[in-house]
Amino acid sequence: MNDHFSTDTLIDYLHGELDPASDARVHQHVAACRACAAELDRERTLGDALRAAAGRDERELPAALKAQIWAAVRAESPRPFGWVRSLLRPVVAFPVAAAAAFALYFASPASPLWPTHAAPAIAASYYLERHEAQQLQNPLAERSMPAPTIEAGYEGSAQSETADLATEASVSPGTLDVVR
Amino acid sequence: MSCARPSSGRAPAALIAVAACLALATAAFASPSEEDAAGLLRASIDASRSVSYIGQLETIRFSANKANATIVRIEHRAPDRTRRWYLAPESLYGDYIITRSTTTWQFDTRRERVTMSSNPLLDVSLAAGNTLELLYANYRAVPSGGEIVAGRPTTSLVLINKYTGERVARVWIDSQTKLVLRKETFHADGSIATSSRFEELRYTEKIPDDIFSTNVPDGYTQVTEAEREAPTLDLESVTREAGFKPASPADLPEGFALVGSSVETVNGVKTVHLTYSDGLRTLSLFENAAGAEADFGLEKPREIALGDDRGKLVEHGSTTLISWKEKQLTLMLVGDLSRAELARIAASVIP
Repeated sequence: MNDHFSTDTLIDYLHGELDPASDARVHQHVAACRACAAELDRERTLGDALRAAAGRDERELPAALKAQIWAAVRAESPRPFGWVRSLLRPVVAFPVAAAAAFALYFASPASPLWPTHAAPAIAASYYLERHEAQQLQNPLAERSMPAPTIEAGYEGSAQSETADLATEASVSPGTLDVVR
Repeated sequence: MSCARPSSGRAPAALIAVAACLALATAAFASPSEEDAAGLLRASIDASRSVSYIGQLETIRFSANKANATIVRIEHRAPDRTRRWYLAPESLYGDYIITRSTTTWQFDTRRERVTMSSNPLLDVSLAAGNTLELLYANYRAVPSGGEIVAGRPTTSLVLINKYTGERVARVWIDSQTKLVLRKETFHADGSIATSSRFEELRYTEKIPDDIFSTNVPDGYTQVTEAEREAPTLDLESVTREAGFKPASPADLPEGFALVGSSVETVNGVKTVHLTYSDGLRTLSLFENAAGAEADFGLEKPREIALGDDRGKLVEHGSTTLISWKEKQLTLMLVGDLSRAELARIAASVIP
């Protein structure tokens, strides 16, 4: 059998960091494979040795010193608005300020999220047609004379679309080139 | 010696006949006095209410570098029935417009659509009553000889602005029927703004009723425009209806006065329309407080200075449109005056 597990896998198994299915496969394999069982044992021994060495370097503070430190902490009087000063620390202030700025921007009418209610445009042909209609107040206005229509350039004529005049109470956009 | 001499009876008769012809010709082209000119002008305004005719009218409108032209055949039966149908341009060929009193039906043969609308100003007596006094007050009608138009002898009058001395219009009036057969209007620089002329004309009462039929052809869409009320001079009611106080120009050319105002709802926007006239020329000032700007379509507006503000300008034939914003109002000025005059008027509008 040549399906040994890697050292990393065995370490993960040792620390309980494999998923249940993988853990079961490694467990079953180690029970039948001397090489992987020996490797697993070496990693376990190494880990135990490292923890033991670390434990030997730790020092417990003397009891009297610990008592003095706690006494000083309890004796310190609270500063006025100390909680505010804590909020003004950069690590707190910057994220809070950024969040407030975003909130103000998106809540304002200038925000792209603000629903816009732009007024609809009014076709210029409407203004022209209404002006022409009011020109009939001119006593000499030709009541049977048609309004100007297509553009006729000096070098020839050019056709253009007829403008849509007012329909119902609304006006559809049209060109100025042709007016009845 | 003997000479052949005409008999004493025939020579005087021939001379009398020649003299009569000369008198008739002179009478036909005699220039009236200025007092008579005013009366002639008045008669020409009312002529269409009593004269029926069939004719072909050509109209050209000139702007700085463009010209708009139409040819229309007209059947008019007094007092108030008219049919106009387009012979040119090609895009309008076959379209026709029926007018009965103050109601109009526009038949668009390309779009197969009929649009019905009413305009109280189509009533000649109503319209003339409003501004005729302004015309007399602001213009002198100066006789200017006569000529033949569409085969008819005419008398021409030049209308001169009393304040500026400028020639603003000239009309050729049928000496017999008093109908206006030809008319020219002029830009401030003296160039022709519009020219209209009957090329063919026949006076007749025998125009069949079915010429003025408004039956809608099969397949046509019918559209009815909202009925328009006669303009009012009651600005307070206009303010109430519009929901805002309209602004007025502080600087108008001499002779111009407010002749009407109205409120219309366009695309859901309350729009005030103020009309100013001097009896011959008309200015329109449109205003809304909803920020609704003008859509010029295919036209590319140019920028124009309006005092400290900037506006947009478009010229359509002899008519100029200027749009701009002033405080809470969006404005549009439309008129046939010079660009400089319109810009000055627009700059004087302060809400």
